Amino acid sequence: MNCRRALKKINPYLSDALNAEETRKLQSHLSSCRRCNGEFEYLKNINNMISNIDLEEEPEGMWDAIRNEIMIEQKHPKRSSLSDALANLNIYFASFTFSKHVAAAFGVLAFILLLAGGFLYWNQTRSLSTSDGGEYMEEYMAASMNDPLSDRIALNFIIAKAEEQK
Amino acid sequence: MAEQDGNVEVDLIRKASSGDIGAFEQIFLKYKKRIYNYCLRMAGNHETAKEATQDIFIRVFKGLKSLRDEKLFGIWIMRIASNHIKDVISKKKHELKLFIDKREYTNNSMEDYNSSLENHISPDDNPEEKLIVNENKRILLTCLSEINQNYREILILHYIEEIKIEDLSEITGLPEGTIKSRLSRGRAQMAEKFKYYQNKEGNQ
Repeated sequence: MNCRRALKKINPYLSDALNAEETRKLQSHLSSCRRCNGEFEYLKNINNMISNIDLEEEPEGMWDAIRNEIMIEQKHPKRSSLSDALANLNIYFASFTFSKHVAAAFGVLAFILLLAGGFLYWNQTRSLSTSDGGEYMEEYMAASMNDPLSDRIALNFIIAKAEEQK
Repeated sequence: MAEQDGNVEVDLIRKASSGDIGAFEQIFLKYKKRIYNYCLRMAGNHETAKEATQDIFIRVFKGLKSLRDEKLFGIWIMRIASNHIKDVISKKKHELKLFIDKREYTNNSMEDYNSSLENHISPDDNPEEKLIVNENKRILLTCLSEINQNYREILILHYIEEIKIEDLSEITGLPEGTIKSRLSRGRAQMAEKFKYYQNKEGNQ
């Protein structure tokens, strides 16, 4: 076994993923190659260090919290599926806790939309009332209420006005 | 002896399953350390680990009736823990992406790790040696918190919780070959990060 192959096999060897034949070949290479053996020792040391992470003492009070929850559950054994679903929804929305940033972002967005809407409305009414089209529409709307020929009348009005300007 | 232990446990599980809280407390006492430490290493901070451990035991109690074979309780409870903590972590990540400055989070978890390290120091150690061991452990925990979550889980369960590969296969539902390759990849990532951090600290 050459070094290139051996280096690839070291990690699987430590995970117990090699067959007997490969294991034997790797072991014989490691015993004769200092560099590969160094790599092997390094990785093995990582294993050891992880194994040596001590288990920590768990905090106080966990059992009380668990028992309380269980007691509540036992007192009201059958929750309807609807309230369960609502509880799940609650958990879901709980992850969307609205931070100040988001609230501010929504505020700004609403303000911008309001401004934009206002501007568009103003712009539209302005363009309608100043252009001939706007005048025509106004006349038409007003006249069509009681005169079926309002279309013609409004048109005539505009034509007359245009000629006047000439 | 082990057989007897098993029988006692089966008895406790049956009692708990019919609503006996005292019996369930015995089960809790037996498994709390394993579950808590697993959550701690997966989530990286004590607060989340505590909350998750509580939720896991509540889930376990509610689910006891659906457990078919009491002898498989050890595997079953780890499966619940594994699913739950992954849920919690992905929810946290989601929140993180949306709202929280990432740097703040990593600093917090680093502080957690550092404070947890203080417990590791035994007073009789030679101070210089202690410093190096301490430093290595800090780096190690940082590396562990940074590698791929799937690899981290397997490394924690196999090396810290000392669960056999065949049992891991039961817990995760993955074939043994996958478990082994995750062990290898996780170890490779750990080695790479460990080298990187050691060089970085060495240069400072």
